[in-house]
Amino acid sequence: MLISFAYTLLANPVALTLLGIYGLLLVATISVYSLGHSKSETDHTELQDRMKSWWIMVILFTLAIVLDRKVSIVYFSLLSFLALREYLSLIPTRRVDRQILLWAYLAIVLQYLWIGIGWYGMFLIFIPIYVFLFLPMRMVISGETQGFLNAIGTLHWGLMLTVYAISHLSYLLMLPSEGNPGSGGVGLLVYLVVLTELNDIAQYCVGKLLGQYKIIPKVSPSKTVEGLCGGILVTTGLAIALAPWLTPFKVLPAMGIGLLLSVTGFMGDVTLSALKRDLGIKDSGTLIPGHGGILDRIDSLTYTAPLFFISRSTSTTEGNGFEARLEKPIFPTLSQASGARDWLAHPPSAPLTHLRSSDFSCQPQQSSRYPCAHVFVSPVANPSPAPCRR
Amino acid sequence: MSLFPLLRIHHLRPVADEQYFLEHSRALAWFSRQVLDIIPVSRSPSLETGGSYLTPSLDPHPCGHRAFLKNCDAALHQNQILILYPEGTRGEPERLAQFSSGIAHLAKHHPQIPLIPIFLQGLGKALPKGKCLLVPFLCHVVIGEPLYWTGNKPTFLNLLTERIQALSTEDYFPTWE
Repeated sequence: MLISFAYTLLANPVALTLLGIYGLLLVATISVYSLGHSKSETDHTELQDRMKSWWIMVILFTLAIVLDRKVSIVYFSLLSFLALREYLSLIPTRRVDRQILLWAYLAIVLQYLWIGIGWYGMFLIFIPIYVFLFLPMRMVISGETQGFLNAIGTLHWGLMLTVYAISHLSYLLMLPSEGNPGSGGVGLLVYLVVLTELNDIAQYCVGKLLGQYKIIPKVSPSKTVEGLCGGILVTTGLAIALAPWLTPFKVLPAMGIGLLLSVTGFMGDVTLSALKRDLGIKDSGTLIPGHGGILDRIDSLTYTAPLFFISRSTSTTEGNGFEARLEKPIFPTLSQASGARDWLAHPPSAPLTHLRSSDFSCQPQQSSRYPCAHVFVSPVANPSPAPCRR
Repeated sequence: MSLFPLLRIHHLRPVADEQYFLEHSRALAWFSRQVLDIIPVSRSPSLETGGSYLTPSLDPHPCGHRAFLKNCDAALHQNQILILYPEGTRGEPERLAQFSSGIAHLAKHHPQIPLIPIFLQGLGKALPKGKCLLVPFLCHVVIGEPLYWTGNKPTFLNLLTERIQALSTEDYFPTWE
């Protein structure tokens, strides 16, 4: 039984990657502790704290993705909650907005509920549209206009970063597995998170070793050109190496994804640095010993998660074969029009302007009294000239 | 209270407003007496309209305060730990008010007992006075060095205020207006 368990473990690319991560952690921990023994004059406690925190974070992440889909949704919603709470405790807020902040917290619950029930359309638009429109309205109802723009601007930016962006990690697990036959959504999630975090570490290490030219000293004095380039090289290499295991990407798209993740991961890092610099603080919190706050750890992910999510479908060779299916339509009328539904589920790989008129089929709605007034136009995957029935 | 080790929890005696904790509702009164084990302090009628509560010298009905100070004395003699808010009231959330002199009286009576200044931040945002809706915020507790009776009431109160103000600038705290 043990042998069969080991066999399934080795056959599973996600498990193998995680094993590799634990191996890396072990090597790093041993080297950090031996460093602490050899050179006693320098203080290595921060580095040791950082390693301990890495162990805890990696174990929690493993449990979240291995146990159950529900567990993972709860895990990521908790991550969003901790990040949003940290953010709202850092920024200046108004007394009158106390209850409105509770509505913002409620947005976390709803956003992850859409993920849980697989309502893809709602997941995409809930925070950018509904919450975006609701919160200022609620603020207006409480009647305080002094500092209104600041309050709503900072609140919505925080929601986008800590809830909307992070929830994309969670939705990766909900994607249908046929798009990534090897390891499914879990593979993509592990690919994204491992690359983003290793990119952070690589940029830090290369910057420490070779760093000379500061890239944006006004925002983050420790960021160097050498660090960024080292991060890009390591991440792109890893992206290509891990792609055949965890993703359906071929070499060239994997290289693109590696470049994208390393550059945007850097962007996320410095964006949160700018926030901290503006507030005059070094770390966003004290939740993770050796790292700082939760925002310090997920800063890169706030950029890479949504960008990876939307770019992954264009990176597969099958084109739109790995789009998330709309299990629940945004509006009921769209579900009745099967053509529109198909179009939403499988967007055309070519821009609409390049389509010929023969790519379209007209599907009159049967229940309508005026069929031709309610025609839904949809480009079909295999264009077959279908005449308009009038 | 949760900052203290569980084994010493029976030593803790929060000083709390009698009218709110004991006369508001029966359940709260039971909880305050049996679980929290509070030392009640009553606000005197003449000072209802604001001002400090723990000022026996100004008080037209000093018996209540004498009894209160006696309770505190007894508790301190039994090696218990008093938790008190020298502002005498919660006042406006997240704003430091003038300290009352009651704390100075206690310190004068017990010059050997250390007073540990503690600054609390964020609690007034999470659950301000009179609200029942808790909004999650990170709260900070900053604990200072112990201080003792200086021999003089104004200097002691000034020292205490200075210490607390120093604690309030020890970390970054966002504005709350």
